[in-house]
Amino acid sequence: MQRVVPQRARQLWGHAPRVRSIPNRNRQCRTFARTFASVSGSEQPYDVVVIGGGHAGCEASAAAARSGARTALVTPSRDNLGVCSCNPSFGGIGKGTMLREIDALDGVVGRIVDKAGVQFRVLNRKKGPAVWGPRAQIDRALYKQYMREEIEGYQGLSVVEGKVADIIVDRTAEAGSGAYGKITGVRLESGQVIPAGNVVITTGTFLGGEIHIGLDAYPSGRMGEAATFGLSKSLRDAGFTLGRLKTGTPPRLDAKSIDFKVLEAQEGDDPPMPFSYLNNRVQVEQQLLNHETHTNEAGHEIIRQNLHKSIHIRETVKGPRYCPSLESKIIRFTDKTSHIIWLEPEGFDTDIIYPNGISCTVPPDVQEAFLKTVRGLEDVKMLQPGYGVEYDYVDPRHLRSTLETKNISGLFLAGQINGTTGYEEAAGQGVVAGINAGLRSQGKQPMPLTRADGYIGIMIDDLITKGVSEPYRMFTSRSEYRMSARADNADTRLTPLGRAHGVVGDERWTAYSTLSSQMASLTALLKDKAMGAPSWKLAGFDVRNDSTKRSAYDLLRLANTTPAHLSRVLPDIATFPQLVRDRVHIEATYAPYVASQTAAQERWLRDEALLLPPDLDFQGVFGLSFEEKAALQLARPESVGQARRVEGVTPAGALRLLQFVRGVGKSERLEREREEIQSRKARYMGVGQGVQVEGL
Amino acid sequence: MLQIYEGLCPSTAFPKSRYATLRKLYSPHQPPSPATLLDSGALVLYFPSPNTVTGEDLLELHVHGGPAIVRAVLAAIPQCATVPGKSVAHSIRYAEPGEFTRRAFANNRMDLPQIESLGETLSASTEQQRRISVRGTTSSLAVRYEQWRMLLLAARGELEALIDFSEDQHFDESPAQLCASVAAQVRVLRAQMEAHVTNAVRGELLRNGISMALLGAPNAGKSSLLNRIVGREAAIVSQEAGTTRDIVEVSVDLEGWLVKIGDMAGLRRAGLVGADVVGAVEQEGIKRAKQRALESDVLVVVQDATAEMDLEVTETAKLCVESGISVVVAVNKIDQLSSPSAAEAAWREQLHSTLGVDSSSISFISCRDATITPTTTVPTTRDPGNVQSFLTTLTHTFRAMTAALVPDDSDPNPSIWQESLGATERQRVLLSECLSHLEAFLSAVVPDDIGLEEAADEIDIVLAAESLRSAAEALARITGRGDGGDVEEVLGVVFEKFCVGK
Repeated sequence: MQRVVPQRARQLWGHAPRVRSIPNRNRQCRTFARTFASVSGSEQPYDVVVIGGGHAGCEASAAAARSGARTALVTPSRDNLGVCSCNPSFGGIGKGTMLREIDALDGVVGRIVDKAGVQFRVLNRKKGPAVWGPRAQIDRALYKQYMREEIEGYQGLSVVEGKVADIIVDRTAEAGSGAYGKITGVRLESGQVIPAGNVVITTGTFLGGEIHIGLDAYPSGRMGEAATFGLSKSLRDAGFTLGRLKTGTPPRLDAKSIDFKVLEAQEGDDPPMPFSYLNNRVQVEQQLLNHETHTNEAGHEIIRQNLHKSIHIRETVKGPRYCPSLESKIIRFTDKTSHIIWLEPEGFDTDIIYPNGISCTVPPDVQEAFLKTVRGLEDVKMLQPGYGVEYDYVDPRHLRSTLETKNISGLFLAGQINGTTGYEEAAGQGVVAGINAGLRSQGKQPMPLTRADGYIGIMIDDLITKGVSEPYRMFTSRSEYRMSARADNADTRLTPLGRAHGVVGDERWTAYSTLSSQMASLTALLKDKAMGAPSWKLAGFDVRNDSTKRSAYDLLRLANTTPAHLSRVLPDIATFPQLVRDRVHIEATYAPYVASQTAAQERWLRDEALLLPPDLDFQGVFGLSFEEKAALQLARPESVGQARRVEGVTPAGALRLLQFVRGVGKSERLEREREEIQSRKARYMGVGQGVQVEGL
Repeated sequence: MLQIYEGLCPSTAFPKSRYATLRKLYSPHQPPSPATLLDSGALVLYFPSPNTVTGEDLLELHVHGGPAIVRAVLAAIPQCATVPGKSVAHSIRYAEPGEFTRRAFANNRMDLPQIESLGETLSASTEQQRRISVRGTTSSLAVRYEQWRMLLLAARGELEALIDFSEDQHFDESPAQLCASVAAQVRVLRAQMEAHVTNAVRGELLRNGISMALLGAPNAGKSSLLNRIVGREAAIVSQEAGTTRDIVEVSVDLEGWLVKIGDMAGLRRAGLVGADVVGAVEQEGIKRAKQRALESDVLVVVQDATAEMDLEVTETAKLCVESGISVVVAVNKIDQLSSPSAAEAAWREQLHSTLGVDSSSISFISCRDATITPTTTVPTTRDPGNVQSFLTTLTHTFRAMTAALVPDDSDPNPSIWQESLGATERQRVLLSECLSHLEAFLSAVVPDDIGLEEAADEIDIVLAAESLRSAAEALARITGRGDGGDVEEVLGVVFEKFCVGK
């Protein structure tokens, strides 16, 4: 069997230090694992149990199954699989890159979006591929249908209908690496117990969830579903810190009652770019339109007059700054007389319109009055009012980079329960938690993602290092590797890594191998063609007249120079597919910046490789300030690198930890200190030791 | 700490914080009696954390200065650790070298620039070194760097808003306007930083000393002048031309400035001095002399008033002028001139035309007079041989070279630029790095060949934002808060200023 990791890719992306073993069975391991796993727990039907069937749950259960673990997804109803509870769209700037990363790890979401999409657009087209944000609006019903089909048909994955009442934890002394105990299974409300050594909780906003409309508040998850309270208590008992966050969703409108003629339409890309690396085209290319309208002062005044009628607008619970409710937009930006609203269709065969940008929690009659002030909505019919949700989240600093909790071994948390917001953030955590729960159940090496690997790695590192104070959303500005970790190259970054851990299937691996070898040959072809400035000028390329010899690859950095142009000098370029040419073009454009970011990554990975003992008592590390000890004790970083990023840790403190890890021959240092003190003593005391001055 | 106090001053009230209190110090663990008295009147001061030098609780004992008393108290302090009948609770030990400073740093009581200046203060040997380093020990340098960093974060925030939000939000300002306003902010910042870097270089002259080279034809009197300046026979002087072969380096404190003077071989062109052939050793000496001249901060050209200017000397001096080295000329041997005033005017004329040297930088001296006058005749002037007035010319030059540059006349508080003299080399290097990122930013945002209006589409905002990120990172490393951690601050800017997100 071939080694599945191309050396060059590993060096470039700096994965090498983390992968300790490469399973040599790959896809076959699923069948083997099934027989082997049954030896350890013959009466256990599942290796991994995933609670929840939202975006994190679907991705986690599929990933665990892909890794070869026998997996169960527990959900109150099969109808809930793949429900999009808020906006009918996926991706965007930063977020879209995460979806590509999930797809590169052979996840499901990208393929489903390609099937259910109603409009595809790459945001930031003009600003360069480093910040391209692929985005797709989907048909809510189709998405749910396709996701359910996918999950129910997924090999090695069973769907169990039932409501989880609680988790079961073994607290005996030898219970493993968790500070509190180890997970042994879940109990359903029916009393049924599903034993499992690995459990992933992806319950979203259902933990202590409370819905707010106007002055009414009632416990609930999404509209019309029961909330989860028993779990909140169990997690508190196990020592998890829970916090409270809030979010909101806008009212839904009837398309038939909207005057679209007076509004400006926004079209999708032509041709639409699919999300999945496995797809060349999306399923429905006939795309739907969005429409743009704006709020105005009259509407703002209605909201201002009714602010007291919403219990959701309290400052004690943090809502997101970047996705502010209509109320907070009006309160905080008093000088803005107008805010944008996007009217997005919820699907092909529905009249429901999602008005993006006006999530609000004032009473329904006020919402309706406000809507009617908006251009195009004068006669609008509101199908469902907007509402706010307040929910418990678990402080993500309780998590390791695999998303396993530090308190309970075998218990993983993913999605909104960790304080994030957004489908993509949830799915990104789901795939990591699922993969690692699956690998753990089979006794295999874990597969955490680092900051250098991509946005998912950035997100998880931010979460477990800094915690959250508002719902966490991805932005490209969070990544210091923006030039190298892009939407186009998620596969180069992650597919080989996933394959090495046995979570990338044969179909994808074949597709990836073909593409990457084509890219490699085209790159080699371009790099081999090197000429001086006069020759390039002769060939019609506007290069600076100096003595530097430039390759055709270098020339791709010039504005308005594409591989197609270069086929004048290198006719073979034309034999490569457009996709391959585009990818190599982007690589060439960013090559110098990627080189410098790679250097930064290497420096950074050195710190990352200096692991701290999991049971390290920070109180006992000499030289740390009181604040640092407290901050470190809370975040419990896994490495020196992570410790440096913990808020409140000074460079001096990080150095102390570094010394601690390296040992610096501890005894040696003590000896040196002793000598130092002795010599100083001798200097001050004049005479040697033993002279006691008993008063004068 | 409490343990030490209770051990030394049994059964007395703990001193009021921040008040000097008179106490008798006794040997610990013994009933206080005249026999156990260590010091009959010590001042005890207690400083509670966090407002202390280290940020931790601090107890100061001011004892009488006799070595025996100090010794006795130092011996008694460790004994306070042991409580009779109990095992050792706390060990009391001497501080490690620099431990107080390190703890101050760890507890955020001092920043890196302050610590660097403290090091400079302790090693200052001349008056100018002391002045400059004392300036740095205040936190104003760090405050300045932090202000700049915050400015950069704010600038980057505006760009990040464009990247992460402009697609689905409408900004009141167009991308081109935003970029122009950010570029304007960055330009102001760049001007300030450039001045700061220049001043840091000037500060280095003060700290590390001004390198001065004596250049002239053989036997022009370079070594004599050196000896007059130093006041001792540092260099061998003889009538024979070419006595000095290798460079003689002498460090002196000239009115507070540390000056490193290099006396070098005389320059002359081979073959022009008739039968006197320039040998291999002398040639090497000449080569080194030229090199030393070009590496100096101040060049003193010593010219024999009775001889023509040597071509080698003129050329080397010109090179120095071109590379920005301050050039001062000393015309020596004026005692041998028949009509000094006419000759002086001629020299001024010639030096100005060949080297562009102002007459204020030209001195007419006589090293011979300076040596002979005091011993042979009654001094007629206070400044025999004019050497003092030459030194005054030098110190004027030094002062001009090391004065802080104030970039903006309208700056209400120009004195803050004095602080920038205290910046260390490490800070200067990081500032230069920061400046290079700012340059990269400006060239990304304002491409030379296209007008601002149509530029918006051409600007690579991502590259520009990355440059600002790197620039802020360089500044952060100065104050020791390197390696990221600024994302939340940047996002803070974004969300403060823009209403974004749907």
